[in-house]
Amino acid sequence: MSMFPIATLTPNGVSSAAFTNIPQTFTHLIIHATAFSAAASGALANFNSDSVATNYARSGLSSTGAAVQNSSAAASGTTYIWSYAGFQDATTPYGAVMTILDYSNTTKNKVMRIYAAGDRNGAGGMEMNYLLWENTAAITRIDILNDIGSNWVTPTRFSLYGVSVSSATGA
Amino acid sequence: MPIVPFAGPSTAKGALVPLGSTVVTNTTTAEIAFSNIPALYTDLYLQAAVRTTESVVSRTIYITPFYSGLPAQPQSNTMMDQTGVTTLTASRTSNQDGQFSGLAPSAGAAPDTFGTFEWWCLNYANTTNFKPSLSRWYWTSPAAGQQGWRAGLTRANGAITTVSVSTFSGSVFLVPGSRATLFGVRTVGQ
Repeated sequence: MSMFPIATLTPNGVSSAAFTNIPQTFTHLIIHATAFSAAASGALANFNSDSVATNYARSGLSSTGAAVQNSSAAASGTTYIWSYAGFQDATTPYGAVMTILDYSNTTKNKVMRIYAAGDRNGAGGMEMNYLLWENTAAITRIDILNDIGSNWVTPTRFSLYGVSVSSATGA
Repeated sequence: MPIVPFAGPSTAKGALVPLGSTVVTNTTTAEIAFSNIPALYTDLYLQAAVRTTESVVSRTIYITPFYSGLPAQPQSNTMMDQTGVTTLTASRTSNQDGQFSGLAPSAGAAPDTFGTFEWWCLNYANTTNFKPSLSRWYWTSPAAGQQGWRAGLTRANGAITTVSVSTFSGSVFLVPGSRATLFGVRTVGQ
């Protein structure tokens, strides 16, 4: 498989950013996030502007470096990409790599895995989150929202990539 | 993951640009370093398969970003690891010279078993903010195995120009066959 750049968002002074008109020509999607926020906060995802609360669920494994936790949660019209606040603000970044499988398939609910983390020299947080969007629609729009409504600030960057499989081997 | 544009009819360019790949061929190498990294990409992505000579089951591997003029001890980590037979453990480091990016099998582990590392350095060429990194590592054998995740931070604002995969020891070496490959991750317009 091969990975291709689709779009990059660099939000500044706004609490949400959206990838729209996502092409349906790839098999999977990958998002790389480097996020700075005006206030300590997490990040939420919404797909295709679907606000039906029961369509979103998350399970995950997380750690602050002092303890580990597991969690699962249904959400309300969005789902957490990362939930730890306090390890990310206007000067300290939080990073994430998010993989969305079979995003253009129209017969499967959408699943995705996220590795998100931030370190602050003696403190930090990391999360492995597994998300479900219980909807078989092809994903054409992804909104990334600040969970407390604070603003993303420069140099925040959300980059969207498409992953294609080989026409020769299917790999 | 393939790293070059595929040879099909599309004119699209791949996002992963191979910058360098090194295989250890002798018994005296403690570090694989990629230097003079151009500030042309958005992120860096490194894959490594390594094993060390130390006489223990596993040993820390340091995947560390640098640039000339880096302040002293700017590296730190938040860590979550598992041996496969114990519950997850959590720990941190602060004010270090290197990033504790995971554990590689060593002389006390099953022979010819290498540990796999995936490492991302995000926004590496930015010159106004600290640099975050993520790593995921694992190795397994019939009787043992370990895995973990590490968040790293380089508390410095300069663009990263060197990435080192190291044992950080003059007496612990990477075994021949250990390999590291570094990619630049392009975004649109790069």
